[in-house]
Amino acid sequence: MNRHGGRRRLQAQRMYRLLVRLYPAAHRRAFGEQMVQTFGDHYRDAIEARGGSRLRFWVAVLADTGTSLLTEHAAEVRARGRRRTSTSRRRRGRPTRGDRMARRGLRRLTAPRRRSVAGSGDITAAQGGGNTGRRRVQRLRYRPSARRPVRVVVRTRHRQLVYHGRIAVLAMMVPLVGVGLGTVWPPGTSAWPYW
Amino acid sequence: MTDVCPGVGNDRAPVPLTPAVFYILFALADGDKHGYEIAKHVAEDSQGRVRMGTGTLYGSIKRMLADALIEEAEQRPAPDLDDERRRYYRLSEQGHRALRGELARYARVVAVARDRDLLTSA
Repeated sequence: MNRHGGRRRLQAQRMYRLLVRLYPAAHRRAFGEQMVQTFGDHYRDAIEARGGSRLRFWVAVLADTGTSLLTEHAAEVRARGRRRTSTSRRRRGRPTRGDRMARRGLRRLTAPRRRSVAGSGDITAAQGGGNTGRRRVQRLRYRPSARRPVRVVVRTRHRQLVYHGRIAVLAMMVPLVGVGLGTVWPPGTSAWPYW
Repeated sequence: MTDVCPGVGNDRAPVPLTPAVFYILFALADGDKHGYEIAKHVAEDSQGRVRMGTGTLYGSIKRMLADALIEEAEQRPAPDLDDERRRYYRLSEQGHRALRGELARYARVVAVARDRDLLTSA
Protein backbone atom coordinates (compact mmCIF):
# COMPACT_ATOMS: atom_id res chain seq x y z
CA MET A 1 0.00 0.00 0.00
CA ASN A 2 1.44 3.40 -0.89
CA ARG A 3 1.75 6.41 1.38
CA HIS A 4 -0.86 8.29 -0.60
CA GLY A 5 -3.46 5.56 -0.05
CA GLY A 6 -2.74 5.47 3.68
CA ARG A 7 -3.25 9.21 3.97
CA ARG A 8 -6.52 8.99 2.06
CA ARG A 9 -7.68 6.24 4.36
CA LEU A 10 -6.91 8.36 7.39
CA GLN A 11 -8.87 11.24 5.86
CA ALA A 12 -11.78 8.90 5.15
CA GLN A 13 -11.66 7.62 8.73
CA ARG A 14 -11.71 11.22 9.97
CA MET A 15 -14.80 11.88 7.86
CA TYR A 16 -16.45 8.75 9.15
CA ARG A 17 -15.64 9.75 12.72
CA LEU A 18 -17.73 12.88 12.11
CA LEU A 19 -20.61 10.72 10.95
CA VAL A 20 -20.25 8.55 14.05
CA ARG A 21 -20.80 11.66 16.16
CA LEU A 22 -24.40 11.71 14.91
CA TYR A 23 -25.20 8.45 16.71
CA PRO A 24 -26.78 8.53 20.18
CA ALA A 25 -24.15 9.08 22.86
CA ALA A 26 -24.51 5.64 24.47
CA HIS A 27 -24.08 3.87 21.14
CA ARG A 28 -21.14 6.09 20.26
CA ARG A 29 -19.40 5.43 23.55
CA ALA A 30 -19.88 1.68 23.28
CA PHE A 31 -19.07 1.14 19.61
CA GLY A 32 -17.76 4.41 18.11
CA GLU A 33 -14.08 3.50 18.09
CA GLN A 34 -14.75 0.00 16.79
CA MET A 35 -16.94 1.41 14.04
CA VAL A 36 -14.21 3.77 12.88
CA GLN A 37 -11.72 0.95 12.86
CA THR A 38 -14.03 -1.40 10.97
CA PHE A 39 -14.70 1.37 8.49
CA GLY A 40 -10.93 1.74 7.98
CA ASP A 41 -10.58 -2.01 7.32
CA HIS A 42 -13.49 -1.89 4.90
CA TYR A 43 -11.98 1.11 3.09
CA ARG A 44 -8.61 -0.63 2.82
CA ASP A 45 -10.17 -3.74 1.30
CA ALA A 46 -12.69 -2.08 -1.00
CA ILE A 47 -10.64 0.86 -2.31
CA GLU A 48 -6.96 0.13 -1.77
CA ALA A 49 -6.88 -3.62 -2.32
CA ARG A 50 -9.64 -4.03 -4.90
CA GLY A 51 -9.44 -0.57 -6.47
CA GLY A 52 -13.18 0.06 -6.22
CA SER A 53 -14.91 3.35 -6.92
CA ARG A 54 -14.67 5.82 -4.04
CA LEU A 55 -17.95 7.46 -4.97
CA ARG A 56 -19.78 4.16 -4.92
CA PHE A 57 -18.16 3.29 -1.61
CA TRP A 58 -19.18 6.57 0.01
CA VAL A 59 -22.75 6.38 -1.29
CA ALA A 60 -23.03 2.91 0.24
CA VAL A 61 -21.55 4.16 3.51
CA LEU A 62 -23.93 7.13 3.65
CA ALA A 63 -26.92 4.94 2.89
CA ASP A 64 -25.94 2.49 5.63
CA THR A 65 -25.16 5.26 8.10
CA GLY A 66 -28.46 7.04 7.39
CA THR A 67 -30.59 3.97 7.94
CA SER A 68 -28.72 2.84 11.03
CA LEU A 69 -28.84 6.39 12.46
CA LEU A 70 -32.60 6.39 12.14
CA THR A 71 -32.81 2.95 13.75
CA GLU A 72 -30.52 3.87 16.64
CA HIS A 73 -32.24 7.18 17.35
CA ALA A 74 -35.64 5.50 17.25
CA ALA A 75 -34.36 2.86 19.69
CA GLU A 76 -32.93 5.60 21.93
CA VAL A 77 -36.24 7.49 21.97
CA ARG A 78 -38.09 4.28 22.83
CA ALA A 79 -35.62 3.46 25.59
CA ARG A 80 -35.86 7.00 26.98
CA GLY A 81 -39.66 6.72 27.01
CA ARG A 82 -39.44 3.44 28.88
CA ARG A 83 -36.99 4.91 31.42
CA ARG A 84 -39.25 7.93 31.97
CA THR A 85 -42.30 5.72 32.48
CA SER A 86 -40.52 3.49 34.97
CA THR A 87 -39.16 6.51 36.88
CA SER A 88 -42.56 8.14 37.14
CA ARG A 89 -44.03 4.83 38.32
CA ARG A 90 -41.34 4.51 40.95
CA ARG A 91 -41.96 8.00 42.20
CA ARG A 92 -45.73 7.76 42.17
CA GLY A 93 -47.15 8.42 45.64
CA ARG A 94 -43.90 9.92 46.92
CA PRO A 95 -43.31 13.66 46.71
CA THR A 96 -40.37 14.58 44.52
CA ARG A 97 -37.74 17.18 45.40
CA GLY A 98 -39.55 19.68 43.17
CA ASP A 99 -42.82 19.00 45.00
CA ARG A 100 -41.15 19.57 48.36
CA MET A 101 -39.59 22.86 47.19
CA ALA A 102 -42.90 24.08 45.77
CA ARG A 103 -44.70 23.21 49.00
CA ARG A 104 -42.07 25.00 51.10
CA GLY A 105 -42.36 28.07 48.87
CA LEU A 106 -46.12 28.09 49.13
CA ARG A 107 -45.93 27.77 52.89
CA ARG A 108 -43.62 30.77 53.02
CA LEU A 109 -45.84 32.83 50.78
CA THR A 110 -49.05 32.02 52.59
CA ALA A 111 -47.65 32.32 56.13
CA PRO A 112 -48.43 35.62 57.90
CA ARG A 113 -45.55 38.09 57.71
CA ARG A 114 -43.60 38.43 60.87
CA ARG A 115 -40.51 40.18 61.92
CA SER A 116 -37.70 38.16 63.28
CA VAL A 117 -35.00 38.90 65.74
CA ALA A 118 -31.72 37.38 64.78
CA GLY A 119 -28.37 37.34 66.57
CA SER A 120 -28.55 40.83 68.03
CA GLY A 121 -26.27 40.14 71.00
CA ASP A 122 -23.53 38.68 68.77
CA ILE A 123 -23.60 41.54 66.28
CA THR A 124 -23.19 44.17 68.90
CA ALA A 125 -20.46 42.18 70.61
CA ALA A 126 -18.56 41.91 67.34
CA GLN A 127 -18.93 45.61 66.73
CA GLY A 128 -17.49 46.22 70.09
CA GLY A 129 -20.41 48.34 71.20
CA GLY A 130 -21.70 48.23 74.68
CA ASN A 131 -25.31 48.60 73.61
CA THR A 132 -26.50 45.07 74.22
CA GLY A 133 -30.14 45.90 73.70
CA ARG A 134 -29.87 46.68 69.94
CA ARG A 135 -31.99 44.60 67.62
CA ARG A 136 -31.42 43.87 63.98
CA VAL A 137 -34.67 43.56 62.13
CA GLN A 138 -34.67 41.18 59.24
CA ARG A 139 -37.42 40.91 56.68
CA LEU A 140 -38.33 37.47 55.53
CA ARG A 141 -37.54 37.18 51.86
CA TYR A 142 -37.61 34.33 49.42
CA ARG A 143 -34.12 33.47 48.27
CA PRO A 144 -33.39 30.66 45.82
CA SER A 145 -31.35 28.17 47.78
CA ALA A 146 -28.76 27.49 45.10
CA ARG A 147 -27.75 28.27 41.54
CA ARG A 148 -27.97 24.65 40.54
CA PRO A 149 -31.43 24.71 38.91
CA VAL A 150 -30.28 27.54 36.60
CA ARG A 151 -27.27 25.53 35.51
CA VAL A 152 -29.45 22.49 34.92
CA VAL A 153 -31.72 24.52 32.65
CA VAL A 154 -28.76 25.83 30.65
CA ARG A 155 -27.29 22.37 30.28
CA THR A 156 -30.63 20.92 29.21
CA ARG A 157 -31.08 23.65 26.62
CA HIS A 158 -27.59 22.98 25.28
CA ARG A 159 -28.39 19.29 24.96
CA GLN A 160 -31.66 20.14 23.25
CA LEU A 161 -29.78 22.27 20.72
CA VAL A 162 -27.29 19.50 20.05
CA TYR A 163 -30.13 17.03 19.63
CA HIS A 164 -32.01 19.32 17.25
CA GLY A 165 -28.79 19.80 15.28
CA ARG A 166 -28.48 16.05 14.94
CA ILE A 167 -32.06 15.76 13.77
CA ALA A 168 -31.44 18.49 11.17
CA VAL A 169 -28.40 16.61 9.87
CA LEU A 170 -30.47 13.44 9.77
CA ALA A 171 -33.15 15.21 7.76
CA MET A 172 -30.51 16.39 5.30
CA MET A 173 -29.21 12.86 4.98
CA VAL A 174 -32.58 11.35 4.07
CA PRO A 175 -32.40 12.35 0.35
CA LEU A 176 -28.82 11.04 0.24
CA VAL A 177 -30.00 7.77 1.73
CA GLY A 178 -32.75 7.60 -0.89
CA VAL A 179 -30.22 8.10 -3.66
CA GLY A 180 -27.93 5.52 -2.11
CA LEU A 181 -30.61 2.90 -1.78
CA GLY A 182 -31.74 3.49 -5.33
CA THR A 183 -28.32 3.31 -6.93
CA VAL A 184 -26.14 1.05 -4.85
CA TRP A 185 -28.31 -1.59 -3.30
CA PRO A 186 -31.00 -3.13 -5.47
CA PRO A 187 -33.84 -4.56 -3.38
CA GLY A 188 -33.18 -7.98 -1.93
CA THR A 189 -29.42 -7.66 -1.69
CA SER A 190 -28.83 -5.42 1.27
CA ALA A 191 -29.11 -5.96 5.00
CA TRP A 192 -30.81 -2.64 5.72
CA PRO A 193 -34.49 -3.63 6.03
CA TYR A 194 -33.83 -6.29 8.61
CA TRP A 195 -33.36 -4.09 11.64
CA MET B 1 -43.37 -4.85 23.16
CA THR B 2 -42.89 -8.52 23.84
CA ASP B 3 -39.99 -9.93 25.78
CA VAL B 4 -39.52 -12.84 23.43
CA CYS B 5 -35.85 -13.42 22.84
CA PRO B 6 -34.96 -13.94 19.18
CA GLY B 7 -34.43 -17.55 18.33
CA VAL B 8 -35.71 -18.90 21.65
CA GLY B 9 -39.13 -17.54 22.55
CA ASN B 10 -41.00 -17.65 25.83
CA ASP B 11 -42.55 -21.06 25.22
CA ARG B 12 -39.22 -22.46 24.02
CA ALA B 13 -40.58 -22.61 20.46
CA PRO B 14 -38.00 -21.17 18.07
CA VAL B 15 -38.76 -17.68 16.84
CA PRO B 16 -37.46 -16.97 13.33
CA LEU B 17 -34.29 -14.88 13.36
CA THR B 18 -33.78 -11.92 11.06
CA PRO B 19 -31.25 -12.61 8.28
CA ALA B 20 -28.74 -10.19 9.84
CA VAL B 21 -28.87 -11.96 13.20
CA PHE B 22 -28.82 -15.39 11.62
CA TYR B 23 -25.75 -14.64 9.51
CA ILE B 24 -23.89 -13.08 12.42
CA LEU B 25 -24.58 -16.15 14.56
CA PHE B 26 -23.56 -18.31 11.63
CA ALA B 27 -20.30 -16.40 11.21
CA LEU B 28 -19.48 -16.73 14.90
CA ALA B 29 -20.27 -20.46 14.98
CA ASP B 30 -16.73 -21.38 13.95
CA GLY B 31 -14.87 -19.15 16.38
CA ASP B 32 -14.45 -15.70 17.92
CA LYS B 33 -14.30 -12.80 15.48
CA HIS B 34 -14.07 -9.02 15.51
CA GLY B 35 -16.52 -6.73 13.70
CA TYR B 36 -14.94 -6.57 10.25
CA GLU B 37 -14.25 -10.30 10.21
CA ILE B 38 -17.93 -10.93 10.96
CA ALA B 39 -18.99 -8.62 8.10
CA LYS B 40 -16.65 -10.42 5.68
CA HIS B 41 -17.94 -13.85 6.74
CA VAL B 42 -21.55 -12.69 6.37
CA ALA B 43 -20.86 -11.57 2.79
CA GLU B 44 -19.09 -14.87 2.02
CA ASP B 45 -21.69 -17.11 3.66
CA SER B 46 -24.55 -15.38 1.89
CA GLN B 47 -22.66 -15.42 -1.43
CA GLY B 48 -22.73 -11.64 -1.48
CA ARG B 49 -26.50 -11.40 -0.98
CA VAL B 50 -26.23 -9.85 2.48
CA ARG B 51 -23.71 -7.03 2.76
CA MET B 52 -23.61 -5.35 6.11
CA GLY B 53 -22.41 -1.81 6.44
CA THR B 54 -20.59 -0.77 9.59
CA GLY B 55 -23.65 0.97 11.07
CA THR B 56 -25.97 -1.97 10.49
CA LEU B 57 -23.38 -4.40 11.79
CA TYR B 58 -22.80 -2.64 15.11
CA GLY B 59 -26.54 -1.96 15.54
CA SER B 60 -27.13 -5.70 15.21
CA ILE B 61 -24.23 -6.51 17.55
CA LYS B 62 -25.61 -4.13 20.15
CA ARG B 63 -29.05 -5.74 20.09
CA MET B 64 -27.58 -9.24 20.11
CA LEU B 65 -25.44 -8.38 23.14
CA ALA B 66 -28.56 -7.05 24.86
CA ASP B 67 -30.43 -10.28 23.99
CA ALA B 68 -27.44 -12.29 25.26
CA LEU B 69 -27.09 -14.11 21.94
CA ILE B 70 -23.43 -13.15 21.76
CA GLU B 71 -20.87 -11.96 24.29
CA GLU B 72 -17.51 -10.31 24.27
CA ALA B 73 -14.69 -12.83 24.13
CA GLU B 74 -11.98 -12.59 26.77
CA GLN B 75 -9.41 -14.62 24.85
CA ARG B 76 -7.49 -12.64 22.26
CA PRO B 77 -5.14 -13.68 19.49
CA ALA B 78 -1.38 -13.43 19.84
CA PRO B 79 -0.22 -9.83 20.42
CA ASP B 80 1.62 -9.64 17.08
CA LEU B 81 -1.62 -10.54 15.24
CA ASP B 82 -3.85 -8.46 17.43
CA ASP B 83 -4.87 -4.83 17.58
CA GLU B 84 -5.75 -4.13 21.19
CA ARG B 85 -8.50 -1.67 20.20
CA ARG B 86 -10.47 -4.47 18.61
CA ARG B 87 -13.16 -6.35 20.45
CA TYR B 88 -13.85 -9.97 19.72
CA TYR B 89 -17.26 -11.57 19.98
CA ARG B 90 -18.37 -15.13 20.47
CA LEU B 91 -21.62 -17.07 20.66
CA SER B 92 -23.22 -17.39 24.06
CA GLU B 93 -25.04 -20.55 25.11
CA GLN B 94 -28.31 -18.90 24.17
CA GLY B 95 -26.85 -17.91 20.81
CA HIS B 96 -25.84 -21.51 20.15
CA ARG B 97 -29.37 -22.62 21.02
CA ALA B 98 -30.92 -19.97 18.77
CA LEU B 99 -28.69 -20.93 15.85
CA ARG B 100 -29.41 -24.63 16.29
CA GLY B 101 -33.15 -23.91 16.47
CA GLU B 102 -33.04 -21.80 13.33
CA LEU B 103 -31.01 -24.38 11.40
CA ALA B 104 -33.45 -27.11 12.48
CA ARG B 105 -36.31 -24.94 11.27
CA TYR B 106 -34.59 -24.47 7.89
CA ALA B 107 -33.94 -28.22 7.71
CA ARG B 108 -37.63 -28.95 8.33
CA VAL B 109 -38.66 -26.47 5.64
CA VAL B 110 -36.18 -27.98 3.19
CA ALA B 111 -37.44 -31.51 3.99
CA VAL B 112 -41.02 -30.45 3.33
CA ALA B 113 -39.96 -28.71 0.12
CA ARG B 114 -38.13 -31.85 -0.97
CA ASP B 115 -41.21 -33.98 -0.23
CA ARG B 116 -43.31 -31.72 -2.39
CA ASP B 117 -40.68 -31.70 -5.09
CA LEU B 118 -40.33 -27.96 -4.88
CA LEU B 119 -36.54 -27.82 -4.85
CA THR B 120 -36.02 -29.29 -8.30
CA SER B 121 -38.46 -26.87 -9.91
CA ALA B 122 -36.75 -23.97 -8.15
